[in-house]
Amino acid sequence: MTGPVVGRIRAKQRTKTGDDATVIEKSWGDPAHFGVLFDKHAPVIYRYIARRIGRQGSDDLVAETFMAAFGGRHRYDLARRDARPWLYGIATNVISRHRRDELRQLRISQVVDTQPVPAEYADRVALDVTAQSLRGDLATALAGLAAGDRDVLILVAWEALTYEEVASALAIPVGTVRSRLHRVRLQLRPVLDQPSTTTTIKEVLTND
Amino acid sequence: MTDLDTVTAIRPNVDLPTSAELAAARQQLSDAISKEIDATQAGWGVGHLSSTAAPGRRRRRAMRLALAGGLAAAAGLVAIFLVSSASPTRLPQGKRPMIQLAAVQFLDKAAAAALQQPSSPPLPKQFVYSETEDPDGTLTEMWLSVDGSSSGLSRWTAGTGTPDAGTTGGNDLGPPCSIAQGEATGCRPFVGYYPDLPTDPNAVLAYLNEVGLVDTANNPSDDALPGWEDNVVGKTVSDLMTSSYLLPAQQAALFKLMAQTPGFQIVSPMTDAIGRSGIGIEWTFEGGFSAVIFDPTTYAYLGTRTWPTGQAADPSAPYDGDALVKLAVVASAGEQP
Repeated sequence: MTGPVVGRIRAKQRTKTGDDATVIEKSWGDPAHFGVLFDKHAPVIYRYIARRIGRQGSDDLVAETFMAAFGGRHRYDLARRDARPWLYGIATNVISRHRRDELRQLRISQVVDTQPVPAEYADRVALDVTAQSLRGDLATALAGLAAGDRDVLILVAWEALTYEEVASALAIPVGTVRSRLHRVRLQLRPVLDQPSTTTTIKEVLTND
Repeated sequence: MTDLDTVTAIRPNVDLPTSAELAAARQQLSDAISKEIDATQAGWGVGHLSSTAAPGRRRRRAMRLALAGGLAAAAGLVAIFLVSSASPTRLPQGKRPMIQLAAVQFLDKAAAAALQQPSSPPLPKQFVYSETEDPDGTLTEMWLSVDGSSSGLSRWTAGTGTPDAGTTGGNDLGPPCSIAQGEATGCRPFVGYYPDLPTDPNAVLAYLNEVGLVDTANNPSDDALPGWEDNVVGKTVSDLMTSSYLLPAQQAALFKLMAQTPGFQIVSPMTDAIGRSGIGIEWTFEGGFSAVIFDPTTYAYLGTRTWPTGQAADPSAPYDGDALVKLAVVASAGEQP
């Protein structure tokens, strides 16, 4: 062969970074790589779904989420090195088809256990007392929010996503995340401003 | 933000699931992965086309080149494009759908990979040899003069998917004319190397018009045809990649031109005509689908697939196309690398 063989070009391999974008890019050519993404993120996505619709049926929605992700992996924006927001977004879409289950779960949550407030919260006890006293009214208020507003609130307050991650997950501008949260606060204020509400709860989330 | 803390505090208490709780979902995904791998490995390439379609396709490429010696070449090449004076509106990158952004990313990587290749320009009297195979297994070899100073040559051997499998044929791809002669006489040369092909993607289309490979001014229709620009670019890149020697920077410019052109989309993995797994960059035009296929790992160009008008881009549907098997520079027409 006297000349170059264009059809057999072998480019230098990309540096392996091991992040989600690399895994997804590999799965474009070899679908088996996508299993890595499931093993890494499925537990957290399951917990997110179960928090919203209850454990029953959550495994089906996890499957639905990852099947949708697998089918849409060629559209993944490789600039997003962490796929978690993307998966949260897909899961949120899947949950949206089960709103009735979610609203039922919110009604149930008026009487079931909530997660203990983590120890790092300085005023944990006060927060716990507040939460328990408000749980019923707050759950009802959450159920009354517009679906898009509730998605933002839950991703921030329950899943600890940053505003940027929520924006990425829901494919909305960061400004919209802020405005939705502002609207949510206004709607929740009547519940939160009840006389039993303590004023000692500290700002601990990192978003502000 | 005290209210958000309170919302956090009523978060339902859910432990992370055990692997057993996720087993069914994992299995469902594994099944889908296996199914896709099986579909890819099975190949979609051979024997789908009706035998009556084979001869036309087999000789199409050689015929197109045989026409290259005169004004007929313009018709032969431009007829593919069915051009229009109005090109589709370009959308800023940020407003393109995700499926197009993924194609842009992929093409940018293909351009970067091309630039990593050594540059080895051919000599004026040499020939660019290319070997392609179509879905019926028909092999076409072609020799094109680097500088257009000698006649080219094509040979084909009918594949097993054709009624006359094993028969051979060929064409003399002359008379040749150089680019300079072409300017004087209207003769359209088809050479194997374009030393002046710009490495700036924005200048490529103007150059291709100049040398007569496309004719975007001579439109048969005044109506805007959606996908026209995609079709011109996609087909031209395919033609150049399967029959010309391109410098690394020229290849990169062509891939960047595709990345800049609206309408290209990345689609599911597809095999080329000889069963190699690749990633298809697809476009639609006049109801038909076409795709340029790249190696998913090296980003090397593999070939093309085209589904006729009215037929979906379905892996199991019949299609036309070429896989680039070999491309090299040789000393004379008829010499194999």
